[in-house]
Amino acid sequence: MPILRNEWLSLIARLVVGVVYVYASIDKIIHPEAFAKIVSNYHILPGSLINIFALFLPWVEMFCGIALIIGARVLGASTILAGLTAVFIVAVGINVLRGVNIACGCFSTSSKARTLGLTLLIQDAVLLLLALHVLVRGPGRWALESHCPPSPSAAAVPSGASAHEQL
Amino acid sequence: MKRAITQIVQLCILAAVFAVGRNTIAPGGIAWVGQWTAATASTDSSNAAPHSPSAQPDDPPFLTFEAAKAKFADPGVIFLDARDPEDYRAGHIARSIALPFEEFDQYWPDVEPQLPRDREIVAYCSGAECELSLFLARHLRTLGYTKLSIFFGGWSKWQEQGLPADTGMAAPGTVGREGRG
Repeated sequence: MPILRNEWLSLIARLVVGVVYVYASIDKIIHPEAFAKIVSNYHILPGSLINIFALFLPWVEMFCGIALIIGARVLGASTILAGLTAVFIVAVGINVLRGVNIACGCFSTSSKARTLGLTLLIQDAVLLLLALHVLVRGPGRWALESHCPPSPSAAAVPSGASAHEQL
Repeated sequence: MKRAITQIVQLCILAAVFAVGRNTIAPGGIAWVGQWTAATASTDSSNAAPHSPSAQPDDPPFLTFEAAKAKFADPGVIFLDARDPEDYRAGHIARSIALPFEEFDQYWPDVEPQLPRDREIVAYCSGAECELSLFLARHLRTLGYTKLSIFFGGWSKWQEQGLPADTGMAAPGTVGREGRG
């Protein structure tokens, strides 16, 4: 379908997924303890991994989100975020089937925030589709990495960007 | 494929550096390996005092159910309910005062006059799945309260044992005064 090759769709998909994940990471980074508690409530990870996961995950979300927003390392970031979204769908799905009423821990570590349910699964599914679109279609014309090909002239761009390869 | 893996590794390393840095340097860091399984198991026993897996050694003490019941028998001890106002309204430990941790600033002006700093205070929330009582107790300690403890069994344990409870909530300004003699 031509619309799927639209540059605007690529841009919007990249920005939506990026902004959602950056936003989702902030409260978890600020409140690692509360987030670890929420992770434990999911009763999926073994106890010894809960804190490591709760400390590491939000930063992955943050940097992958930033990568998508600015359009750098888009392939890696969209792979990670599509994978994470799929994992979240499974984790939420398991607990919806279990019938437990726990806090989502999606955007807020507050216990008062939304709980698990079908709406959340649908939202996650949309997010997954957008992330997969970015993964398959690439960063698009307006991404940073589309303008910074690795070449001798790239010496002027900030370090790190020189490691880029063009799609 | 190789490029995807390279970028994934780069992003993960970046995240790991920040995760370690934040957790080491900034206040509020937590242990890398928490004692989650032990804590979950202990909440099933009414002998051991259930405690939060994220509890620090210098946190206010956690009470067993029996100890909480004994405190309740002393009318001088104030029970604080750290849960949402809706949960409080639906049912709470008799004579307890609503002080929702997440709406602390809104409730505090009304609650503070009822809480002399020399009084003994027991914070609770819904039970083992909830840490609001711990957060509330820590916060109160920073405000100068010293005789604090936490009943981590919380409302679920209290209700399960059929101990005195109230429902409803007084209008703001009189929060928690209902049911008091």
